[in-house]
Amino acid sequence: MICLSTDSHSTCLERSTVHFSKKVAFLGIFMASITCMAHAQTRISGNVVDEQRRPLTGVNVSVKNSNNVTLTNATGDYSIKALPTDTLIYTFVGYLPQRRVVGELKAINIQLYKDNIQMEQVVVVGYGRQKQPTVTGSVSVVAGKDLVQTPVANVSNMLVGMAPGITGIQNSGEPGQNATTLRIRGISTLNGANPLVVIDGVQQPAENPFTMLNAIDANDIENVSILKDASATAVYGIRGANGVIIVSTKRGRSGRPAFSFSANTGFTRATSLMGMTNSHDFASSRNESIRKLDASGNGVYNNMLFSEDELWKFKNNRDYTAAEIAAMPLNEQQKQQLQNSPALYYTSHDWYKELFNGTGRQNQYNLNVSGGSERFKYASSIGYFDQTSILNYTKIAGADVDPKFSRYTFRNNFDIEVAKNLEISVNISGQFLKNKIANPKSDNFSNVQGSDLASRYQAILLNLKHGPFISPGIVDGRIVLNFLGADGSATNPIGTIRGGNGGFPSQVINPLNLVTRGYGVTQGTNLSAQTVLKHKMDYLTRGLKSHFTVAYDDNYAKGYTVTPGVPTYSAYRNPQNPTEIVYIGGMVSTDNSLTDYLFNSSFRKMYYEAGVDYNRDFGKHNLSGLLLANAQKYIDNNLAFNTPSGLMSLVGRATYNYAERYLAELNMAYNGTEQFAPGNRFGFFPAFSAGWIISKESFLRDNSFLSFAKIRASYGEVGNDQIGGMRYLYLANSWNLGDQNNGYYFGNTDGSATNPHIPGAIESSVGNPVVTWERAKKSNVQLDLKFFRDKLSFSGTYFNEKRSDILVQPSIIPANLGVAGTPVSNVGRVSNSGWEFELGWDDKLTEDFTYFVKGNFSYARNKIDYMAEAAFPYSWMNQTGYMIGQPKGLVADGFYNNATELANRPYNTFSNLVDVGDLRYKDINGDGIIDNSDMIPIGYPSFPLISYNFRLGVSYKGWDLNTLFIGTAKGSYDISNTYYGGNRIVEEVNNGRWTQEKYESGQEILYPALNAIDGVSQASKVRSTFWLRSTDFLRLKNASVGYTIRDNKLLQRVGLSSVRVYASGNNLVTWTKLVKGIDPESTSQNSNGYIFPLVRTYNLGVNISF
Amino acid sequence: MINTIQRYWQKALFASMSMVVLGSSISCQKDFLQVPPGGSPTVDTVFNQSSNAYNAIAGAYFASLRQGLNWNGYYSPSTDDQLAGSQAFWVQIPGSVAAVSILGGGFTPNSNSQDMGSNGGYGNDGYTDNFQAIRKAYLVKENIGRVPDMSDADKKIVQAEMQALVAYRYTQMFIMYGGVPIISKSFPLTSLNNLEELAIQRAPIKNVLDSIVSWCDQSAAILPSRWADNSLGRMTKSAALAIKAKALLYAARPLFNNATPYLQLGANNALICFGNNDPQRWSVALAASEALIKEAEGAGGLHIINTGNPLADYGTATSTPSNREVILAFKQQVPSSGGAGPYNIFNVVNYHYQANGAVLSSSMLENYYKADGTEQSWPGVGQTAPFSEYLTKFKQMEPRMRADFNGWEMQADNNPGDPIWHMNEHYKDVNHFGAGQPTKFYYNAGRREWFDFPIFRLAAYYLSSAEAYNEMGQPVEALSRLNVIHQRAGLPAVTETNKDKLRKIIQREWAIEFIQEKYRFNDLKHWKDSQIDKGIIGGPIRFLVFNNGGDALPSGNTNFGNAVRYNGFWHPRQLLNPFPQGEVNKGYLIQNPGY
Repeated sequence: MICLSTDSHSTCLERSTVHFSKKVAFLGIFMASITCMAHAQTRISGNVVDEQRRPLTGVNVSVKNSNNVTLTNATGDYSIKALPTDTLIYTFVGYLPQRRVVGELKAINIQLYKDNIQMEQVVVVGYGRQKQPTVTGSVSVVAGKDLVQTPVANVSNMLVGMAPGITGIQNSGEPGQNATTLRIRGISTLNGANPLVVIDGVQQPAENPFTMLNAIDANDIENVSILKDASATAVYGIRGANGVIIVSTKRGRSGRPAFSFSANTGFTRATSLMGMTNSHDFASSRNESIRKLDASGNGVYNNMLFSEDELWKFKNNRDYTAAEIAAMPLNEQQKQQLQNSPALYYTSHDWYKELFNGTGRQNQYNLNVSGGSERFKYASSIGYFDQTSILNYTKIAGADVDPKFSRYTFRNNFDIEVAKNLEISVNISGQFLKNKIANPKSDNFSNVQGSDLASRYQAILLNLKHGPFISPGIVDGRIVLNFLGADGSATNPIGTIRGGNGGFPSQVINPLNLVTRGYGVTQGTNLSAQTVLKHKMDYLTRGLKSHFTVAYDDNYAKGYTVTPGVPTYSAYRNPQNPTEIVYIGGMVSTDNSLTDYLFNSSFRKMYYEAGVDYNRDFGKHNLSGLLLANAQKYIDNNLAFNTPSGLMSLVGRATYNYAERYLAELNMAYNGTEQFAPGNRFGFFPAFSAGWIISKESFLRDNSFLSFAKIRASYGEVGNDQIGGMRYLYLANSWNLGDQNNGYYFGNTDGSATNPHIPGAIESSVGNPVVTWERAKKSNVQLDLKFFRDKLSFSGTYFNEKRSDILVQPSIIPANLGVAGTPVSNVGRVSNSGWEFELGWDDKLTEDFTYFVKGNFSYARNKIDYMAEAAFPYSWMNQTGYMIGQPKGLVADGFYNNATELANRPYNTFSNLVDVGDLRYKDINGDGIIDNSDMIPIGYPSFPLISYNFRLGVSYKGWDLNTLFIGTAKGSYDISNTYYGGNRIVEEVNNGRWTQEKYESGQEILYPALNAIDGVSQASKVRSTFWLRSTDFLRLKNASVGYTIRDNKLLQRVGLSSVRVYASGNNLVTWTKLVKGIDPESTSQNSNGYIFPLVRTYNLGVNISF
Repeated sequence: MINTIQRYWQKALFASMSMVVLGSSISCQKDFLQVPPGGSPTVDTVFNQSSNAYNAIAGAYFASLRQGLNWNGYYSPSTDDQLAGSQAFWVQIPGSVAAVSILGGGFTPNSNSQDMGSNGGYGNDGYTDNFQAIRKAYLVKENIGRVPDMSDADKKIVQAEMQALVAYRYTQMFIMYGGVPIISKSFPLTSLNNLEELAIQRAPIKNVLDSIVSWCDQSAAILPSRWADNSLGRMTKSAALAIKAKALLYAARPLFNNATPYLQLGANNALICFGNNDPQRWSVALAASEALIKEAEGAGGLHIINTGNPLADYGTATSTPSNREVILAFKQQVPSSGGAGPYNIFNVVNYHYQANGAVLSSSMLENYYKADGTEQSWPGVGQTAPFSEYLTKFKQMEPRMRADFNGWEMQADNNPGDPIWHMNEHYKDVNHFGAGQPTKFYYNAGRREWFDFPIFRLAAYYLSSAEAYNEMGQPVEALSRLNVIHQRAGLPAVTETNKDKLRKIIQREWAIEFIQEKYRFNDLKHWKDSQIDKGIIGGPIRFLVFNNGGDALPSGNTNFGNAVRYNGFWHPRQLLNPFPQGEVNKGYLIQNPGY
């Protein structure tokens, strides 16, 4: 109980609220009585309901051209006095207004309909909301309802293809590890390019930008704003340069509780699997290579040749030829049995398919309720999501390593009017995540992070290369690890000859042996709490408001791994009776062992904000202003130097418009962080924008052809302080005292013990006192047009960005300096520019039949202008002047088809073991040898330059059909980097290989000859234009068909207000020229060529409102 | 009444919020934006007390003496031998040996090639690391004077030690690159604002040599002959003289001591060649090695270990930490698994595939004598013999081979009776060919996972003197020096007096005695060995093979033969290493010819 005053009117807070409500009532009566005295009016009463006939509370009911206003109460009832000639106007945010002439009516009941356009017309921008037409920055909005149409786990995945300018790459289809890396308008920096994520006004830490975003249940999201230009992002200052993603969650509206329940269930399959060569083709093509090697004087592999009989065995999946069986001392029945017995030794496996051809399951449930009174509004939800993987052979002998991701979420958003002019919003949300992964280990069985996809997938997939017959796989439900007996003996006939087995000719490497590698489990919790006090200060001046926010985010994760004890076997065919397969062992590989305290991470973040804003119309002049300060502190055990990372900002905005026709806006931020030296900590980032809504001019007004036209432009500066985890770079040359890794051992030990270790003291880094943030100068010009009463809409944007002061390690400093860590300097410059177009057609043929087509196209291309790079002798070897991340490679120029061509070839410094069928390269600099100086920029970076998408939607009566197509162009994937790319095991490579016969008969040759024992020779594997493939694709990203029950009477009878059932799918159809098994939305950069396929989802769902 | 209360409360709220806004933006700034607690140590902190300074001294030793060694898991003495064709390059897939590395394509100056001259791959040991070590040494040398609790005499010794460390790095650079920029102090960081100041160009080899000699002379005058036991490992007078003698030996050899360079560098020939063949250089080299031997065996208290038990003597001299034949060792006593330890050098306790893969090549195998001093007859290419013959012949070999290599299906002779040192126990997954797997540096080591790498062993200077005497036409003196080492290995004395024949024998002694001790690769180049491209580094590289041309098995091997495993690449440009292209791009370094 807080007492506010010491005077005679002393009242405590609790009681004052009571007084306020009385005052409201008093004022209402007072006003009513005044109007009553002036005119002879009748009392009109009635009820206002929504589309589902639920009462609407807080609807503004006013008499046109008067001050007479009332609001509907909690049951939707209202009462107002009016003259029969008056018109009543019913308005409610988000609904289409209704007008009624009073006439002789005493009771007027009204049904209001949602105004979908109106809903979109308020746009969430940085620290505020703006009316759509008056926005002068570049902002795209994605509605929450569109996001949930994509049945995937993460919001980051859902955002791809939803708005122009946002692109993404997905690294894996594994549950819990399948998030997308997002970029807004491409990449403009050599350092961190992650956009800033803001959830309900709270900035997410740059160190963990997507953790919270990906944990949110998309059903809770009202909308997502994507801020792209300087005008929109300047208020975020040094965190704004890479664009901003603002997520707003759903808030309650007054009214009786509206429940909504959605349930989805679906299954997932690999989008595409790499085809593997079968044993017969593998063995015969390997024979071919061995003979070729032998002919060139390398007889090392001659003992690995398969005989014709053996090839027959592979082809027919038998261990013995008919002749061999005939010679065996067996009875006829046994012989017959053996003839029909599938191979144990001469097997043929498509490992890739066997591993990844499974079906994953996916379930999602969300229940939310919202409603409230004028004073108290709430929106609460609980959600659940789970997903299992497409991996096979994860459950054997009681062990279960099947990957699974599950997530429980809750969210409560309350808006409480505690007093007139004072509102408190409280948001409390949490997510509980559990992620089980198969194989939490690297190839050498050491535990690695679940997110270390390269190591984990390598461990799963490494052994595939050895061949389709490297192991019998899972035989009769048993994991077979060995054949018994010496290599080449009757019980282990393909021992040595199998080859390529890492020097373990007698040991079988079983690629399906996942269970003994164990599983890892990470359990994580995210909690977010936020309180916002909003205070209207009209009493000082009308339109003035203030607010104060405190938010706390907490993330904690911990995990463990379990290696289950699983019986493993040796197998062989009984030499006395080969029909009998003998399993030896059943030895439990390891005891059920547990390693605890893995995958641990935790961070927390405090966020404080206080500000005032002002918005007022003076006739046709609209003026608004915003001034706020915020401070945030991020604490993470992984931060260098063990100090939290802090950020403080002052933010300002001023907007002006005249009659919503001429628009002007000024945004600015003044930010500071401890990353920079005291005195240099704060930077100022201003942006200016202006717009002109031409269609509001008299000469265009009410023009049914061009119904809307607007042009806007912005220019400003924003910053980026993401410099790759390095901190305090401004500190003077610091030394490491007690450096354990750089010490020495003096003394006279004879080896029986070590000498005492003397830790080193070494200069650890060189400070740069003037280190500062990146600065982005961005400009943006946008034209929006709508035609035919807004049916056809067009939007075109050109943007240009010059990023400067990018922190780089200059490579121009001579090594003579001798400083271990090259000092950093803010000298890098990158430019980035591009286009975005949107085109839409939205029409209603009849009341029942509506449809729309919307598409957009984005193009962004960057160029490194300067990075303090010492220039190579040939300009093409530099990075400067080219796109960020553009690969460099040789230019392939067909194959060496004959000995003459081979004899006249330039020397290849990468490997000169070149034979016919190998790739021929262009000697770019003409010096007669193929080396690094012949590697030129080829292809494109992995983030494509062009992305486009289009959506089609049709609704007819209760039916609706929605589809989203997405595509990209000018992106590259290096398939030489893919382990299988150069390998015999890949069917496409093996079947498409260069051979003398194919060449002579003029058949199509798709790949180099397999001149090495494992496939393509080293000389041909060098990165070149041959292996760098275009990722261009078009994909039916998702589609849904739904039916909404429109029979209100039926629904009311069962107590429901709406029911929609639907089927949807994701990644349904893909058109691409990329190699089978590589998803064009993935990248070759991170996976090291080991791929966990992305998935296609088929999904059934229902939404019920009541 | 109510209005008054409301206004009051609103004002109070507004006022408090304004204070919060102001407060957060102004007064909290210092608390909110933190700096690391306690600040960070600077050069002043380090040199304000001797204990911290001692840490800096340790850091300088580690950085300087790790040259060419496996301090970070990448590069090892074995790799030198692999590049020299003495051992196989480690690989998991047989046959790709020649493809993955320098062996197949030669050195290139680009960082993505695994050469020693660049900053990537094995270049972790590369060119730029030299200057980091040199800076560390100079920072100590220049700042030690500020330490309050240390005597002036000690300070002078530390300065001499640091200058000797710099000289050591320069000797190694001199041998690998020829002329390099001479840096005689640490650069102030203000030079970052004036890159011209840093862009010191390559000096002619003569100047580099003169600098090394003068630095070593200065240091030797100050350094103690011996250190107390707890300081063993620090620079001594012998060590400084050894650095000098090594530089002068390579200066006298034909690569540098020549009227014409190995490849033309036009006006810059002085960077790679003296420009004349001056026999006097041999006598200077001889004087240096003799001076070292005199100091070492006198005040230095060192000697050639010879108790009449060849395998034990050679084993002790190369393996036992702190033994009295070692002049200077790299004392990094951490297990192989630590990454900063003897990572690649074979030890069965902590096996590493790179080490196991470094199997003995046939060209090197044929350098070894039988224990009786005669030649062994190994199968020629394409010939096979029963596996039992391999076992017999291996056991006939001289003690040094049996100490340094473990044959297939055999116990390692340098760890007799220890079951984990039996091949069957450590048969691992790479390179099952070649005459054997390396075991050097682990004489009677048992399960010890580390060793002190011998940077300078007294034996090297006996061979240096022998080589110099022979070149000066004094075979008798040459033999007297050579036979100290040759006979210590249990072999009968050499009597050859023909200069050319004796040169071959001395070179062969270098190869055998110092395998894996970082000599062979540079020796071959500085001798301008005529066979270098004919089956040693370049050309067909042979290894023993087993079971009809395949791999050796842990047991049950049937026969063995000799086969070409890869064709090595050789180009005369490789006589000196390339400078990293990234460094050349900076515009101040002249690249060695051919790159």
